[in-house]
Amino acid sequence: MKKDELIHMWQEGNDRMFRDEKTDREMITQYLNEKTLKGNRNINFNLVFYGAIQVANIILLSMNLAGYMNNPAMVWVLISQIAFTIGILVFGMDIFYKFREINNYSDSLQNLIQKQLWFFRKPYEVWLVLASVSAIILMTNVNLYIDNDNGTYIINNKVMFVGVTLAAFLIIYGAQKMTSLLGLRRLKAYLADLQQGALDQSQRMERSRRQYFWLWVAVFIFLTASLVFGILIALR
Amino acid sequence: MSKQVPDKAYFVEMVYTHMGIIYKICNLYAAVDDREDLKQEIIYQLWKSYPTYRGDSKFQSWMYRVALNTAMLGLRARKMKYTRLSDHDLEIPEDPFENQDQEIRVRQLYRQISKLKDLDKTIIFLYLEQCSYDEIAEITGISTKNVSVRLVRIREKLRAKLHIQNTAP
Repeated sequence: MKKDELIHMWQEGNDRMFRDEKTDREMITQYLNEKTLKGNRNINFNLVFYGAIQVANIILLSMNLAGYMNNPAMVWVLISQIAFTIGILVFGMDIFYKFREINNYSDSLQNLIQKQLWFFRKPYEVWLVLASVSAIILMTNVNLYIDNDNGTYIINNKVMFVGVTLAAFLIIYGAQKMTSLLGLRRLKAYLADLQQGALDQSQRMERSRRQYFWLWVAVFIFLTASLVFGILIALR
Repeated sequence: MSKQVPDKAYFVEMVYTHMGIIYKICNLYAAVDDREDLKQEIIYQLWKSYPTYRGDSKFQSWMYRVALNTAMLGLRARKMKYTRLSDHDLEIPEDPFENQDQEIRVRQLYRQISKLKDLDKTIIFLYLEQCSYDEIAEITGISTKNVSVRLVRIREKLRAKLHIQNTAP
């Protein structure tokens, strides 16, 4: 049986193209060490940063719990926040574990993309909300700690308090969501490309990506300005 | 081979033996400037995935899978560089003893493959590397029948572009 001419051309061409390539064993080992260290640093940074926020929350909450011990309403609020924070911490660790799993490239291409899509659609979406709530808990507890008046915390303007908290949540969540949306949209398009066997969708995505970027920058600036404006009014 | 403690020396030796796979994938999926990055990324991802290599499949097949996934999801999905390979990207060493027509045809083959959609490119790449249909199906995650149908179409397309007569089985 005669070998396909394409295979013949491919083999011959590659024999010539790569005959000058020189990647020896030492270079492979060196790449491995450099990349492994870099990879670990990235993972460690995310883990440490996320863990640090939760630990700071737990410490602050415990301090506040001691400070507001004679205020039964605050005790319940703080205990529920501690329970919530511990839950987020555990959930966050699970998310990081899952994230490492879906980036294991030894699975088939199709499975890998499906898994990544599932991750970004389900657990990561939940994590985005919880991470934003964590930041709000941190912010609120700093205020609770600073403004502790013998176990009493007075909210002078409830509407403003709720408004500012909500705006802060929206800004934090919005910024994270915008960033993740880019990745998710690209993945969705890529999966569709693979299923339909067409690159058109991804190429369209790439064009619209820049337009979305500037739209999101505008939304972010608007929300930040609203927050600053709200704070300035509250300070008057 | 222990699953718990990966044997680094063995791994390096295996990657070194099959380094050609990485060169070819880098050449097909990355522009000149990104090639070195992709090469390092593939080696790193291979090492990262190595504990999951069970040894029941060929090291080569497993390597194809990880390397191609890295090229497509690790680099292209992240940077979204749908770069078409130019003549500059397809440098073939000068060799005065070889037939110039042959060189032109190899360049054309690479260029035509680089113009294919990512999945088609992967399928034809694995075919040219003489992987079986089952292996291609396992690596890409699509059915063997789908691989077969696509291959017929891709080969016809390439042959037409390269003006090659059908000699394949």
